[in-house]
Amino acid sequence: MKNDVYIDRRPLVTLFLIEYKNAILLLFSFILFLIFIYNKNIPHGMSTEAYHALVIFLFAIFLWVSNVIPLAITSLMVMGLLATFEVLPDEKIFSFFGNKSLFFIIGAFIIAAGISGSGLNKRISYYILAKFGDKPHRLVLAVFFLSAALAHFMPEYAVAAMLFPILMSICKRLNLKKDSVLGKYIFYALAWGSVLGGVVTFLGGARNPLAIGILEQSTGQTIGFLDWMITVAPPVYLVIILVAIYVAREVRASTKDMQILKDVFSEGGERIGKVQFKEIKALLILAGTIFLWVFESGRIGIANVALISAALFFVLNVTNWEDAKKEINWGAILMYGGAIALGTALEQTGLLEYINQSYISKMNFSTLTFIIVVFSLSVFLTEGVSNAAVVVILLPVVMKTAISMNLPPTLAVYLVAVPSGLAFMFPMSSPPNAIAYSSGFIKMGETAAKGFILCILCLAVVLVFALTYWRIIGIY
Amino acid sequence: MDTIKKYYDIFIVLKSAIPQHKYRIEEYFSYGVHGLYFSTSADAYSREQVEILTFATELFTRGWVFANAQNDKNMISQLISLKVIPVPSEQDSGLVKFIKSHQSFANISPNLKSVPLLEQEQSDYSLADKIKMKMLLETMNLRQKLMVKNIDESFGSSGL
Repeated sequence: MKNDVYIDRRPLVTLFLIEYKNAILLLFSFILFLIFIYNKNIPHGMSTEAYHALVIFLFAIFLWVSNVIPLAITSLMVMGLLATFEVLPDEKIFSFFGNKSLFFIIGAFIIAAGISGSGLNKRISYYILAKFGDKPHRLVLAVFFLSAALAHFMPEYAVAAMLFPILMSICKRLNLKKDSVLGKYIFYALAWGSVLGGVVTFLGGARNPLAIGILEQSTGQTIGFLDWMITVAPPVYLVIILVAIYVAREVRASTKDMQILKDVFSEGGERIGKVQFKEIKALLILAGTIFLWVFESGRIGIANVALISAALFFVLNVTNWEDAKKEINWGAILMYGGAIALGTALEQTGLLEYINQSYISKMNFSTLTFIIVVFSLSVFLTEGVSNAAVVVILLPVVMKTAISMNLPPTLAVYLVAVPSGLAFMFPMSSPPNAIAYSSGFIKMGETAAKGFILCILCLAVVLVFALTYWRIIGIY
Repeated sequence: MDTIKKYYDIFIVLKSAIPQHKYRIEEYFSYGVHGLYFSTSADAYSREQVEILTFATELFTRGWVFANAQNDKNMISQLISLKVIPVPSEQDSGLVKFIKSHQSFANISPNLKSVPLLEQEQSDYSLADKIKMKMLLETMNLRQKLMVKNIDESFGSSGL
């Protein structure tokens, strides 16, 4: 028999259930959906449209959480269902693809493609690692801070994917075994740095613009690039500093001779060659873009800046369409369009008002309880569910609750979107974790335990900032 | 094998001598064949060969392991007791009748209008027969698909 094949002798029923669990789940959920959508016993006080929106929402949650079909396909189906069951007119549903946030995300993907295509990110990586990677703890810190910094400007998974082969060659050259403490913390630094850096701006993870899109669609309010950073960066930077102290302390005992790495860095540096003109162009475009986002977003709009910036990468011949289109996650775009449609449907059919009146307003949340409950729910839900799905599932209800508590809906956006990006515990929680896990240096159980502590740390830090700093800067 | 199955609805039986090791039976199963025909001509099956035959009947669908019975009624009875379909080495309608009338044969018959290898004559198949054959074929293909696992895929599907 071929070495890569074996015969599974478990009972056929077991094998069938394992093989077709997704199809069975899908069939089961679809039957339930049909039963409930055609049910005539609508709760008292709820409109038919609101009831249909609720059933579609619950069906979508099930599909997004179970991941039995791709997230984007669930979103497209949701749009079809919303129109079919007359929750919203179809021309309105499809118009949500015209949301500014979606175009910001498309622009951000192309900007990331432009930076990657220019080689600028790789040069910065080699420079930083060569400069600071002379001692084990400095190397780990360099990886951590580099990942976090790059994730401010590029999607976090792109940062992890770019640094992964460099770090693997470092570990190979250092002859690190799979149980090496240094190897383990190099990859923890990669995953944690990418994840933490990714929540600070709109560019690290598209869930943040998605949350803004839902906010704009529901309330007409928005959050600017600089406003987001001013609010989110201080607590996240504090977490970054605490984690940096921890990883440095854990690795400090390593006495690995790092001189050998000089060859890796010089070889890597030589492969990249001298500074190319297109790297300079990419740097200038990026600097200009960030300047406009920070200082002119009120006048120009961040989506417009992103699109013009994306176009400049082509105008100045930094990248080409063949490379750029590979970097655009069209699935995310499709998913977000459907998610915004669903969020709006929940609001406009009066369903959120009904839920709020009937249930949430009776709970008498204090602001402190509200912050703790929402943050905890989001930070732990995101460990098992896609980051963007967490935003879609929680944000509409949380926003409505915030409004009913006389809190601004923008607070709800921070409380849902920020923790939705902080997935540390499992490889499947976020792409950087999965990439780091694939190195073989980190173990599932230990990652989950450390990830859990990190989640608690983030909760504590954000809670302190939410109760003090966010009040001072006028978030609520 | 995949190409044959893609284009034709046919039962595929692999003709082989009785192998010395059980893993060869698993290997045959992993090829995707529906049945095995052990054409070894011997006056009697050794203990090791009986073990291999038993192993094959446990792995393959009931009624799809065949073995040469040398037109010997004792051997026929022995094979039927092992849940193996006996195949006479020479066509003998009397023997075929004897086999089909054996009290245990109904329990191991592949549940088709004519038993493959045993009955040479082609039956006339009605639409219902054809549907039944198609269902049996696809059930066997599904069973094979469920049981034959690729190590890489299993590792991947475990979420690791």
